[in-house]
Amino acid sequence: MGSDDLTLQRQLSGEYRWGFTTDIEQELAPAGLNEDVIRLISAKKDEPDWLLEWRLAAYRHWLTLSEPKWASVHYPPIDYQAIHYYAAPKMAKRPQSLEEVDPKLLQTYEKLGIPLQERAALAGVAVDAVFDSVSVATTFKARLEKLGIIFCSFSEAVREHPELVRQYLGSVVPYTDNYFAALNSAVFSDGSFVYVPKGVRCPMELSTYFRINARMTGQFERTLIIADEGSYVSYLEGCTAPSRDENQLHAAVVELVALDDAHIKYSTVQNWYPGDEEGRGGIYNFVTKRGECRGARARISWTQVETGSAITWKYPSCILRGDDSVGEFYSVAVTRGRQQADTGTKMIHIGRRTRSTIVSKGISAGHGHNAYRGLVRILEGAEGARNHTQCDSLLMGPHCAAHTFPYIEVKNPTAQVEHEATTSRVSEAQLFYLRARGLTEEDAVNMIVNGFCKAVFKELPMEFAVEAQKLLAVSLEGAVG
Amino acid sequence: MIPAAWTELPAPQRLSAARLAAWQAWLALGLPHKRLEEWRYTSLEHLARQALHPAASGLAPQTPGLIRCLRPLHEEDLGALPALAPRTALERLNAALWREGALIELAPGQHLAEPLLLSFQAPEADAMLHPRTRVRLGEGAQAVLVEDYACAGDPLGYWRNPVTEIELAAGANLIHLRLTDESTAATHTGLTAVILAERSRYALLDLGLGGRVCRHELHLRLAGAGAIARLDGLFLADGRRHCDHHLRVEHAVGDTTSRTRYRGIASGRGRGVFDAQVVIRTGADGADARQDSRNLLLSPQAEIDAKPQLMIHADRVQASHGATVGRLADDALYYLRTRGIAAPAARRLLIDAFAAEALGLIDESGLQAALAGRVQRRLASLAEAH
Repeated sequence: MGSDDLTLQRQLSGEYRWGFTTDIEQELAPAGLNEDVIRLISAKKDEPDWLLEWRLAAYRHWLTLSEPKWASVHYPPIDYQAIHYYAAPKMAKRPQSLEEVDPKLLQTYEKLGIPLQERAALAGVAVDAVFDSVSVATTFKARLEKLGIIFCSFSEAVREHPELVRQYLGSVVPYTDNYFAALNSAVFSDGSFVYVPKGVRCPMELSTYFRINARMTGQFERTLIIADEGSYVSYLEGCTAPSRDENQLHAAVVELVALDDAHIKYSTVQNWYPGDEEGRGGIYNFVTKRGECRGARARISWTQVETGSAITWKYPSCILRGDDSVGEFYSVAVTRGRQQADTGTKMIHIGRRTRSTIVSKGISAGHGHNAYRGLVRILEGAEGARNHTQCDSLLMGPHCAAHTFPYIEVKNPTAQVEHEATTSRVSEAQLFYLRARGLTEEDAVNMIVNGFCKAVFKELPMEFAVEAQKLLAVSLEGAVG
Repeated sequence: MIPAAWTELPAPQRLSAARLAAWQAWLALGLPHKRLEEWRYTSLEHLARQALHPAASGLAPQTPGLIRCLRPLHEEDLGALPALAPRTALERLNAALWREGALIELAPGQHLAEPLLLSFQAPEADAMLHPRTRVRLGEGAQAVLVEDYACAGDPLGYWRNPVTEIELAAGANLIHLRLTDESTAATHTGLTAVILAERSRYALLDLGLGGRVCRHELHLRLAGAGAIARLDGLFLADGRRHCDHHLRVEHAVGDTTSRTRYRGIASGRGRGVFDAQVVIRTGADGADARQDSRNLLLSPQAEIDAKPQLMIHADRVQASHGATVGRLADDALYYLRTRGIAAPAARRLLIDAFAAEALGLIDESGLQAALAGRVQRRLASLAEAH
């Protein structure tokens, strides 16, 4: 997939971004959350009864919970009754032209080399960019269908493949899991659904770019990926370009299921609006992501590059149930300005000889606040389980903060668990050395930061890795000096 | 949640204002429970079911005249000195109910040749013991302090909740050996608070040898440039023991050093917890913190929980931590057996070597005779049971 294709795919998403707003806008649900709103959402989507019942059960459970406070992040209280749970973004609120958009945002687009028309779409300008490239999407879809791979929106999956959705929905992240997962289960808008049949290796990286309407999934996205025995799929989420969104609170749920010998690779680049320099107006990204290696020798890899959002609160996790299954987590999280990130993973070892690797790189600059929070739990039956965790922080400037909160719980004596963490800074000696070799200060910092993150970038699909490096350079511009 | 009987304990009219305030704070805070992040791994629920009564603290009498710098602690002493311990629920309970305690004060420049021994015994079953110790070392003073919490007789089901506050003036030097060697039915929830002024040195050996449910909370604050803390620890969680070491190390200013090295062994149905946090405050440039926790699991029912945390708020610092959990290395055992050493002896050798990594202070403080044998006996019983 070349960069031209990527551009094309972005344009695709641009076309469909506001494509079906007309009828939804007429049916904006009142603000607030109650059972009637959930019934309305379900009815609008023409959902079967069992799904409505499930949503209602989730809602009733949510009512019994209180918002978690343990994360190392601070934000004003969220008024859940002020949110429209079924609403299209309001056109009137959006900037009417590029002139009204925050010039800082435009500069960033410039640096990332995003085409002009696309910049407007990303910034949320109310122009309907029309590109004629539907055929590309259909071609991809036909190719996938031939292999029996299902890749569609969640609503479509509920209509077309209800038996699969019913079997797997909530089986990895039950609605009782946590506050935000319960909320999502009650009101989820849409998302992606992937099913890869037995023994099939998905021939391309699946990305939401391919999927029509992907960008209209709203603030309560729900993704479900099932890899049947012996299959492989690589899924890309997000976009390196900073995107603006009307919704401040995002509470998505992602569930992955890997059966015997299946391998799921899930990569994320997240660059949502982090707010202005004081951190006002940025996105709250409170996500529950979890994969279950249900079969023997299954493998799930999470790779994430988190540079956006005012607050990131996410722990992509692996439940290693199948014997010999493997879980991996590679993460780069950057916080600058007033950004806060509390992110990490959970590796739950249940099966025998299960293995997990955690590599977390946190970068804090300015007043950024970065926390790694991870759990490695080895249960009684996890004979011969193995975990290695490496968790490094890079600090830039006297006002930033880096925290590490690992939890290690071992109940089996044959397990071997290692955790190491370091904290360092971009040292003057390193900078001086590189500058003496003729590099500008900016290039020198980029080189050091890229070296620091290399272990994670090499896990990303090629195009993504290149973009991620660029993104990092832009994110940290002026952080040292 | 506080058992109803406890709220009746002291007669309020007999309490001083300070004790009454502490008592009210305790009533408001209540007994810690597992839903609190700080108490995630340790439950005190069983205390609520026990019919406990306050008792004298079990501090063994000192040989009179031998040590002039040590005398019984009085309530006025605490009022006159700055409070060092964080006001946790259990600290407040101790502050309200303590009956006996020791005050240790060394004049500037005073060097004690002999180690100070605070030996605590347990007098009766279902006793609630709240001893309180206050230590002040003047500028450049030096001492070795041994705090020994033990129970000589039958396995009594008492609860000991000691609080120790230690203040080191500039250049002072304290070696502190703390033994938790309670009866197999006892609960121990100790709190030690230490504050270090510039260039002072504090070395701790935190030994968790006995007891049913034991937890030691250490709050250490490096408050002056050049201060150095060395924290060594070893816990042996065998049988059904629960052993929790809870460390909070704060680098309040720059050019301070902390070295934490803990070893834990869990066997039988034992459970060991190592929960340590290093905080480096804004502006504490030049702080250097290292933390190292290694744990050995010897049986299928044993459990180790480790939570080594770093909270860094400055960029010109060095901080690292490492934690491992595993069993005795098969190849090391194999190697010893090829040298003709029988399996039990080989295991014993490896367990001893593992424990010895944390026991350096026993030699350095010149207390081999008094302590080494005790630790060895416990290690031997642990290795045999296994």
